[in-house]
Amino acid sequence: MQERIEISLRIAHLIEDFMQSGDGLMNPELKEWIEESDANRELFARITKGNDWQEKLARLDRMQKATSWSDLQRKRKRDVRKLWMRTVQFAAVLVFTLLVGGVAGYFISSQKSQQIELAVQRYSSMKGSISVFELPDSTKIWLNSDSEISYSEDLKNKRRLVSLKGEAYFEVTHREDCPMEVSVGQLVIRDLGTSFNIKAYPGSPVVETSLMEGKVDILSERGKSIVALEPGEIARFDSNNKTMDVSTFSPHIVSAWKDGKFVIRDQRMEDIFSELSHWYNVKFIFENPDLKDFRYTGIIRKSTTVEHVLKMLKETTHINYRIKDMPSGMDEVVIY
Amino acid sequence: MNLVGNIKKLQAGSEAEFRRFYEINFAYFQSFAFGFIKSEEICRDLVQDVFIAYWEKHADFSDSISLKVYFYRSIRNKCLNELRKLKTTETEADNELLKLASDDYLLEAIIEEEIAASVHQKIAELPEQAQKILKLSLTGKNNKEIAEQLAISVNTVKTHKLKAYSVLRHQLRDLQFVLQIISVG
Repeated sequence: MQERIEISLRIAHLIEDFMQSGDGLMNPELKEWIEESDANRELFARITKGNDWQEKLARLDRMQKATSWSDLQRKRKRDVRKLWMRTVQFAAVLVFTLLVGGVAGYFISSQKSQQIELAVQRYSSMKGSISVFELPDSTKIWLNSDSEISYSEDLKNKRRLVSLKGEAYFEVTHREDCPMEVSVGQLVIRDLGTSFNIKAYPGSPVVETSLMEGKVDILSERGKSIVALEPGEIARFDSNNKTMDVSTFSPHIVSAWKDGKFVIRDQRMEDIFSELSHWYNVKFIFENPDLKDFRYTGIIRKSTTVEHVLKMLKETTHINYRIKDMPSGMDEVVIY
Repeated sequence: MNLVGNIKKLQAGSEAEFRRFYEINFAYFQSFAFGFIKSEEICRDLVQDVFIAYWEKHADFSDSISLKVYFYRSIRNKCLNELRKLKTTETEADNELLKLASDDYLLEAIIEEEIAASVHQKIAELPEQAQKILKLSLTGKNNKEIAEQLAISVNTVKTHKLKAYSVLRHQLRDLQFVLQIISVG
């Protein structure tokens, strides 16, 4: 392949020469290349005729204008930090793997933790939108549709406190002296410098914590350690029967929402529609309860309309739907 | 495309040289990535990663050709990985991906980008005012609008266009786009 690329570079050079000389004389090597295949002939015609040049040059201009050195610098710093974290985390993971493994069932006490009075910042994300914000320490948080978060610093006990309702993706800047603690219902997730996703919508008994990078500890409300996660692991806590199970997941599936996509992997229809309803602000009603357990896999762009999504599901599965326009309140979609 | 930059200084780890190398060549590689992923944002991100990886790896390239090949290949692989992540349920998307992943597509994309970059670089060699006028024409503005924006007369615009035209015609005689853009009209 290396060789073929080098030949292409040479051909590009010969085409340029041909265009510049303007004497119509063609280098024999170029001529041979053009005659080699229809694809080559078409490419040559496209370049020398130049119908799409205007667009291409304008794009190059735009890209050159937007090139920013400081942008690259910021990114480099972030990457160096990640690299360093990975080394630290490798040792941590090794120790952890020796200690814990597989599925764990834990009992969690549900006593209220003590309240602390602090200056609190609140962020929220409406139905149908995703918001991203950065804390002063350059921690980045993506907030999924219909979610809210509050943030404060407990200077006395040296903690950064977050409480979450809904779903958020965190890229936390590690501060040895001041860890971040995210409270969700009966759990506290303590970050040790990481990227992780937490899903805890009110109305669902399950809290899901997925770790992409770094390390997190999951604690009870009272601060008792329950489990530490490794990258690639997801912990599902069910508040109904107070069980926690740990399994593995594909990172891009869990966090795809922050890039504007629904990723559905072998999920139950009922769960899929509950997610869609957070996004589209529509109520879904199952006329035939058997359909709730039907499973589906696919990816849906969030920029598409709810009708489009329904049409797609109708075409690829055996479900059907009808939309009930409600003059006031949420529209209803009946699934049958 | 002529990779701008002093390869020796780059190899020696000169930060200033790396900056120059990045600022001048970045757009061409981003535009190459655009051939795979039609999002300038995503392309910027991926190509930045490749520049950083190159710089941090202190990879050893003896000449500008192998350096260029390294960039083209890394960028293309990044793009394909990203596309696999973004893959949708539609089967046409799979066919599209198959096409983009072929060796032939890579070779064609390289040839096109090489020439586009070189034409773009030639335009950059024109006198400043002529460039400004040309770039405004690229955005679809007519002579009167360009004259207003640059606070010069319509006749000056025409004169500059003629000059640019003769220079470019000399450099790239067979390119019809030159006529399209600079038609003095």
